[in-house]
Amino acid sequence: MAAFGFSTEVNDINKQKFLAELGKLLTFMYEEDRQAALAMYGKMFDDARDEQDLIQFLSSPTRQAVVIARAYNARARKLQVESQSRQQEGDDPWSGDAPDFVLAIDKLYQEYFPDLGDSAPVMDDQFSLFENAAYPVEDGMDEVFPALDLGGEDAAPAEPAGPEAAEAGDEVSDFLEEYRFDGDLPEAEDDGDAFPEEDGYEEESLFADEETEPLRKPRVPLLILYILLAVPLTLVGVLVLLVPTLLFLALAASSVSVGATLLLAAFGGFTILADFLLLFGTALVLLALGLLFLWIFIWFIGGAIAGMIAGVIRLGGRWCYKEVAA
Amino acid sequence: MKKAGRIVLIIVLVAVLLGAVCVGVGLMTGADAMRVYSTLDERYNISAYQQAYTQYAGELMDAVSEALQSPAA
Repeated sequence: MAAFGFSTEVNDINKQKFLAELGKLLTFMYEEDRQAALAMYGKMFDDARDEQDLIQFLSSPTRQAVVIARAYNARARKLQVESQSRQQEGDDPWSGDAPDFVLAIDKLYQEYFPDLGDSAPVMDDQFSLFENAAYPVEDGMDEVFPALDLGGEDAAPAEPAGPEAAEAGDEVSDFLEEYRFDGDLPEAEDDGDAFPEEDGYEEESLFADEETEPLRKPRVPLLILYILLAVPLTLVGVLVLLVPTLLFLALAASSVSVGATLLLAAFGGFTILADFLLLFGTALVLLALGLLFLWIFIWFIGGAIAGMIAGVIRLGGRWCYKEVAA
Repeated sequence: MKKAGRIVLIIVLVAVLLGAVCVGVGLMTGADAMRVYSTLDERYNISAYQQAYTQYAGELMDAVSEALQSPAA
């Protein structure tokens, strides 16, 4: 897979930094799933011949985090774990059917390692990392694979089925345990352009949109009582507010009409400039007051009366409804 | 609503200031309020409106005071 405008500084990025960055981006996952995902990427790095080539293939931790986020639904995962824990009492609830994010990472693995089939049969004389001490350990092998104990592990195929599943589960858990990131992840240096933003992945939200709208159930007796009390009181309040509303409307109408009349008169019949200015000024003041009274009337209608009605409805919603989990 | 209110207030203040300035300048340059009133009265019959308003306002006040006194009696 081609890189997207990588700079030469990517050569300085190694497995540790990549995994550290990825670990920081996967905090939206459950801890067990996060560890499993990191372990799978760690295994990819271990199996890869060229680390930089693999990093180029993976592009950036951000992109991988997006791939995992798209395949990960926290709520569905929780339900899956709960159902598996009920089915497998006493067993590790995180085992069982592979979750989607594991399949997504496995798909990447298959893409990068097309020669390594996951269902390839293990031949009797084939060297396997999970074989027990039946096969002799070659000199120096433990230096190449220092973390693995080739002499004492329980033998188990890569993907067993049936009654061997539990045994394989323990071995896989042990394998993953070796790559577990406990405590604080190593701080990745701020390399600036090490992982440049790619087109289409800039500032993409990694969190699934989980809209959990709680259900609102009415408390019927309280609602009926509230309606019986609130409606008459609101009507009385509206009538009381209507008095100043109409008063201001009347004042606005009269001010505007008198101001307009004086303005017409000033331009119509006065030749003396002083008289004209007196009349013009008075008309201007009356028109301004008319505008002010009109605005107050609008505020009474849209602000006071409408606000009172909205407030009563909101109060009823708060008192007479209860929120229950969906 | 808040922004519109602010704009209305600014317009009102500017108009009132301008009007006040015009009235002040007019009075300073020799305007006569009685002359203006008499001219307007000739054109729009203001005194008749004033008379009618005074009459109706008086009658309204009498009616209100009677209404307030009658329950007490």
